[in-house]
Amino acid sequence: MSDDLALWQRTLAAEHSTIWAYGLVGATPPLAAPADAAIGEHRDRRSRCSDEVVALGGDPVASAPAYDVTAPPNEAGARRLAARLEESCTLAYVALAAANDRSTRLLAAQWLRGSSISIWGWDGELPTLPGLE
Amino acid sequence: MLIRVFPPVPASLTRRRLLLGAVGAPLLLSIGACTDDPPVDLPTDPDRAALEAAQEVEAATRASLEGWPASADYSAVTPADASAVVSAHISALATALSMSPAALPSPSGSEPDVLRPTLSTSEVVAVLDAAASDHTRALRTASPEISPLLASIAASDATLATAILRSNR
Repeated sequence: MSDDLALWQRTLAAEHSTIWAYGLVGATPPLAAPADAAIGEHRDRRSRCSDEVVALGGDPVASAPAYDVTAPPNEAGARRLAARLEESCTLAYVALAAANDRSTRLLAAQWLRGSSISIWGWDGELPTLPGLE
Repeated sequence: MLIRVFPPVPASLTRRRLLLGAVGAPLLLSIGACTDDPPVDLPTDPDRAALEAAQEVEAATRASLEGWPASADYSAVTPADASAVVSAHISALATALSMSPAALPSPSGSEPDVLRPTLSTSEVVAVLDAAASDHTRALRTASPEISPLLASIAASDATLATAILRSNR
């Protein structure tokens, strides 16, 4: 398996879990709309990941039936969960930015940018990214 | 024999004082011609001197920010160079932001830092956006080892720009 294929698979797995858990965020009434928007964004990224895995000759990793995520009790908890979901994605995107393929790097940077801004939007804090320790 | 009466001052300050014009400049020029250490206690316009000092720093900062990301050849940057690249970038941004009126937002909700107003919020945001774009473009030539670094810096710049923009609406 090529390095790039492994990176795409890791990112795909992150998208699966993020989309699933965003459903819990959206179940908190005030956050239904922003959660839906985020889910739409991550679904697009998941589709792209899946396409890239196939293009590289891989078998796209499947989503788990469920993930070990506790439903947030209130809006603050839901926002924290959303920030953590985006954080896990940023780490996958950072890894993807090291792909051998240059267009993949650019796409990863674009996604990283979007996810970082989302973290701020959810009142979260950016994870420790390379070079910014 | 040269008698030193005045304390030394930085060359940049001396130059600014000589540029002041009006009454102070000819006097400073004449004294400066016969001493190594120019005087610092002659009457000047402190507001004007402060403004000129701020403008000089601002110009240097702009030049640094405009020149560094675009001109760097990232294909030659190795992981060993990365810390210097990041340090230069953070230093330049810190300088720019310390001159802005932007209230740096804090996700934790703490009080923002209110800073000295010379660059406008929109200027700072534009600088950050430009830096983010430059770093993203640089991914085309960067090595895989450096790419995550550049992507992270670009994301950080873009997030900061967004945060400043939204918090100042």
